[in-house]
Amino acid sequence: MNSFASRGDVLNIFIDNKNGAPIYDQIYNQIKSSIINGELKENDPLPSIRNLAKDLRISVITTKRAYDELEREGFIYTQPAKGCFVAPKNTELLREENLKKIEELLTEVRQRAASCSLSTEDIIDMYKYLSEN
Amino acid sequence: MNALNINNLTKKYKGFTLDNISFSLPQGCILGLIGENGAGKSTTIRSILGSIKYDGSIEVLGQPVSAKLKNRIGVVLDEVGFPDMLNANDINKIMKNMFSNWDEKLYNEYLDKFDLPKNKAFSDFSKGMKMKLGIAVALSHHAELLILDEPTSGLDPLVRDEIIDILNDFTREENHSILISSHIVSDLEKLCDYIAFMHKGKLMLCEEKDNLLEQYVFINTTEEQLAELDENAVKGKRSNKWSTEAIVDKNMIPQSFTTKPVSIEDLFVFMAKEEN
Amino acid sequence: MMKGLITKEFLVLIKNNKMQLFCILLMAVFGVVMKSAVYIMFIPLLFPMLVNQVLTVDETSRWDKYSACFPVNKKDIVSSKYIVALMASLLSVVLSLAAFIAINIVNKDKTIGMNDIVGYLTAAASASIILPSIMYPFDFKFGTAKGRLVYFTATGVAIAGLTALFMKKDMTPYLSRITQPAFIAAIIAAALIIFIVSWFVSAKIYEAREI
Repeated sequence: MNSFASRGDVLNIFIDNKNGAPIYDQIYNQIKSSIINGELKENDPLPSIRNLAKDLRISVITTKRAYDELEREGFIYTQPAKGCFVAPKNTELLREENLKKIEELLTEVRQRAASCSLSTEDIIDMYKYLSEN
Repeated sequence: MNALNINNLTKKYKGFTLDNISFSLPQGCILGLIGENGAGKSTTIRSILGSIKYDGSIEVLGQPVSAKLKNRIGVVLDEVGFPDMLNANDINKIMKNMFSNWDEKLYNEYLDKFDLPKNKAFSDFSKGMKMKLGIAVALSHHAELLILDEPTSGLDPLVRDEIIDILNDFTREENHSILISSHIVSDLEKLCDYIAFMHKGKLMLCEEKDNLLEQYVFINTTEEQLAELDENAVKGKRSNKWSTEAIVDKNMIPQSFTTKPVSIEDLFVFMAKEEN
Repeated sequence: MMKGLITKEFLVLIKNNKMQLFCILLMAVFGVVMKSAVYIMFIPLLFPMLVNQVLTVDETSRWDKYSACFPVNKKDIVSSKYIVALMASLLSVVLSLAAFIAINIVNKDKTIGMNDIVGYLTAAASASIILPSIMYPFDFKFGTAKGRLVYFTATGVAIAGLTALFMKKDMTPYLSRITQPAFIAAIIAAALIIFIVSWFVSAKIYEAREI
């Protein structure tokens, strides 16, 4: 079952109840992506924790957890009595995000390489070839 | 402040005992009380309302329950007890003089929203309509805590969904909380922040719903493999001729197992069977 | 608040008993037409029955259980019923008085004496206060079906007892005393005391019940 909330035309959130990751994780990731790829701009307001929960028909504890995580990671900030807003783009943060993703992907490359017996040199050759073409 | 604090609630009847129930409902949250018929849900709610005497302590909105406090509590019981010959307008006249914060305008809005006739006698209402009237009354005096005892039993899925929506909206306000009991678990599963399981007068658990869904998983295995696991990890099992299905604590089993998510209903049924 | 309970009592009383209220009115009219006090004296005996029926409605509609949802306690519930019973009793006295006055207006030559009227009204007032006082504790303890039984028994015993008393002794010296104001006050005061004691007893009974 998919449910979604949309704030204006910008933020869309799709929750997969059945087989996806924990719901707070899905929300966290989707808001984070929207922030990173610029759909959500600096200082844009986010829906309140309660309203988001009620719109998505999920627990406030879940949305709170997602927002807490986003705040902890520096993607959003809270203004008391006003709500949550997108934090100014932190290039350092973005870089770190990208590094993390690259590491993830490289780990996967290594695993797959191992399963078809490719050596490190083979992989580096492959990368060079792709970079040139 | 907690909307509701129940400590060591005990009530003895002939043939049934409500045994040392303790749980809390944080303000702004929805707690679903799940249990089979006769598990003790209604007894718990009747204790909260002061309809019966009990041992233990109960606090609502930070105070012991009194008649005056009920102005801030909206209650819907499984049977809406309005006299047959009265209609919705009569109920308004009564409630105007009953509740200190009765909001006639809001009440009429709910009647329109629920499509309830204003001049029809209560005896002509269907079960769904009666329940909706009860909910309209509970929502029309600016209550902070809603207590609902089996509000959806006997109602068709369409009406139940409507009611879940209304309850969902009620908690958009930060200081609004809901305690709802039901044996229709699927309704509660959508709505609740906290889940409490009651079975044969005992409280089996009371936890954040999301934690439950994350912590417990289904595994498909054999009796032998199951026996090798930590016995505290296994919350319940079901065996057939060819395999055994079990609900386990994800953190207490080896990573090698393939897991499937559980629903709250599954969790309750398996745990209750294990208790028996 | 108790006011809500009283509102409910009256709404149910009126809506549930349209037929019975009509009959009572008929009784009054009949009494005027027949120039007979007997019919009029039924009025204060019938009102408590109606009020008792509201309690029955409470039970069948499960209002008694549903009252747990409202900001009233068991004492309020009992009090609302006693207050309504008192108001009904007052109403029955007023109605009886009106009927007597009507008889006297209609019937210029054979009017009922003021003394007699006062006597009748005193009896009416006391009966309409004492009868619910006896009935209610039983209603609250055992439910209205049994309460009604008690009511009929009590009324029967009272009527039988008074009839026997009248037949045995010459009551005229006592009856003439009834018109003395002090005596009237004493009878009504006694009725009210019984009423108030019954109120307390019912409250205690109902508080101990688990609905």
